[in-house]
Amino acid sequence: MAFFVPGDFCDLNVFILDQMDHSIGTISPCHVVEIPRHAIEEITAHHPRVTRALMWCALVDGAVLREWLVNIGSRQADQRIAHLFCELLLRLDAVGRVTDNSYAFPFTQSDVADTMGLSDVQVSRTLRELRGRGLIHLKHRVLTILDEDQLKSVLRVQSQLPPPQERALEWPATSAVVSSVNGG
Amino acid sequence: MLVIANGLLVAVLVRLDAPDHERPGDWYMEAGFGRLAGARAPLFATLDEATRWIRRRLRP
Repeated sequence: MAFFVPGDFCDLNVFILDQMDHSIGTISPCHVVEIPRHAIEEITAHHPRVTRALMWCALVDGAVLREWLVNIGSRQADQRIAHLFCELLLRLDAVGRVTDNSYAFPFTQSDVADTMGLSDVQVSRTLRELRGRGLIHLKHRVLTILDEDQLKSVLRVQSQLPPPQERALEWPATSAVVSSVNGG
Repeated sequence: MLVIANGLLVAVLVRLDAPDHERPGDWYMEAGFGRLAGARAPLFATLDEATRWIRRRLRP
């Protein structure tokens, strides 16, 4: 299980498969771009720096997934949810979707329970506790992290996501890539 | 509420009373033991419902 945020690739490498081995659904209205197989093949064949950047994205996905395994495997309810909130804060901030430590939170309590392997009751109790401790504010589908340091201390989150390094990417033959994306 | 089957404690049920629960007043399986350990139980509107669910799960 995973949540995608704007800017994420929905598992780029699936172009290798003939059939998807998992399904993807939307929770809120989404703008989705379909990248045709030949565009990926063109990138991997002729644009090594872009390819490397895409590999970097896959590494981030892997790191996030490992944290989710630890979440389900060994963290308590409050730690799992605190981790999810901190993780989304980091990921959404990276794509400019955080304002005043707040971000859109379209998930229902059942969505959170389902993905975190918790019961609805555990989720509602945990949210009440986190609110009670002044760590979060959640209303009208907007989550505000009121005290990031304290929330992190709930689980001693370390930002182990590999930081994006190659910021000044050159995008050679941009028009060729863009036109194949648009035409796809 | 302690649930005893054949002299053994198999579950602990609590009545949800906080207003922010989806169905306050329902019974929630706070803990399950033995075969019920880790089981994902639904909320129960009545203790009868809970008893029936637990009996089904414990059937050999």
